[in-house]
Amino acid sequence: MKNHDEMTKAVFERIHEYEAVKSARRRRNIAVICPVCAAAIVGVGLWHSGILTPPPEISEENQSYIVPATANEEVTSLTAAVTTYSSKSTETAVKKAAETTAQTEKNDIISTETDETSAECDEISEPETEVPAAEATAEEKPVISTKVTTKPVTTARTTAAKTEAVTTQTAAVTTMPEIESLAHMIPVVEYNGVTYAFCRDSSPYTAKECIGKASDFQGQYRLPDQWEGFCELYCDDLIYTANETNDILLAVCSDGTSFAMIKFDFSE
Amino acid sequence: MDNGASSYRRFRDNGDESGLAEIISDYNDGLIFYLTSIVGNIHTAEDLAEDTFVLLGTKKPRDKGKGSFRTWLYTIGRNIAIDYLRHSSKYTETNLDDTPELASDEESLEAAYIREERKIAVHRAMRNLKPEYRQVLWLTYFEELSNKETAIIMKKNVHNIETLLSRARKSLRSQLEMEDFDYEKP
Repeated sequence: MKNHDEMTKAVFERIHEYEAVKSARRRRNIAVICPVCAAAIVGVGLWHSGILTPPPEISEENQSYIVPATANEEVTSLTAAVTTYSSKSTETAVKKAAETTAQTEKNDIISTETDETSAECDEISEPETEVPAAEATAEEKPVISTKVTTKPVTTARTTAAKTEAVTTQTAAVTTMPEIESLAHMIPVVEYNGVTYAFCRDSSPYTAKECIGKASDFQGQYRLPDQWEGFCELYCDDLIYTANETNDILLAVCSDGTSFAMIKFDFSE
Repeated sequence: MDNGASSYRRFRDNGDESGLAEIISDYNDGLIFYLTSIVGNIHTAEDLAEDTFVLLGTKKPRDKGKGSFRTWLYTIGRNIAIDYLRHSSKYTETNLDDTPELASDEESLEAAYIREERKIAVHRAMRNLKPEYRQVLWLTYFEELSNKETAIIMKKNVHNIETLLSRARKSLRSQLEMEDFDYEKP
């Protein structure tokens, strides 16, 4: 049997032992929990910082934000010119233009009549689709080709004498709506009324003369604020003519890479 | 006198170990005898009494204020003893007559705690009673607790304690008669 002192001593020994075990267990729990909490905090931080989140996928909706390299105003005016082509009043204008082209020997007349045509085209606000363009083309086929020259309205206004040059631009003008309907991923540059589109490797060709930056031309290229994967031709990329042929333009990117752009008719 | 409540508060609130030492000094013997009445072995009762004081020192429970501090302390000791009996599958009640060393320990403790020869004889006669009878007789006649306090410790109502006490008295009387104990009949 223990006396009071022995009992007291035994009780306090056990109490102190219990407290030592408890504090050691507390320390061990802290040592286990702290790294876990730290890892969790770091993980949450990384997650919120966006490092761990996957990049947004490129959907068709995103691609719809791609806009042509030309300014919106230019596109609008271009579209208006094209739509008026199928209208009734445009048909009359085409007839007049055909008459003028028939009298090619009288340049003065041609220029004035072309002016009238462009003026009438400007007045057209809404296209009328009742008269199919095919009929007009059937009756006056030769006229149609020249009529298209009215598309670059500004050109017809300013230089009526350049009837032939305008004629060469006809193809490009008529195809612009089609360009818009195409996938906007193809680099396109319009030079001297001719549309050049991304085609092939540039290695067979050598640069002849720098004709400007891509942004200097009407066409389709990537603006600085556009998504990186949109188009291979950047607005600051340089455009060169080729020594070997006039049907090729060379695009030299800022990173030194280059590709060829060939004369291309989207209507085909 | 607050029966040790102030000493316990001093230990619990201020960490004064002397408070717990005072409690051990005051209640160790009585608690051991009471737990002996439950487990039937004074050495086991001593260990359980030590467990009771260790529990006070580690868990530092709070008295709900239903009774005196001694009542609360004995209740804790009783719960620990019952847990011990529940978990001790090897528990067998040992007759003190068969273990002379245990009997000598108890006799020395009796002499120190009970002191009166007459009460010591009665206490020895209680060894052969049922544990419940031993408990109620010890708490009522040796610890001099009221029936209400005894009921709180044993977790029974007062009426049950009165009934139990009556039966315990009859059993003790028959036991004393068997041992030719000379007592004054009421």
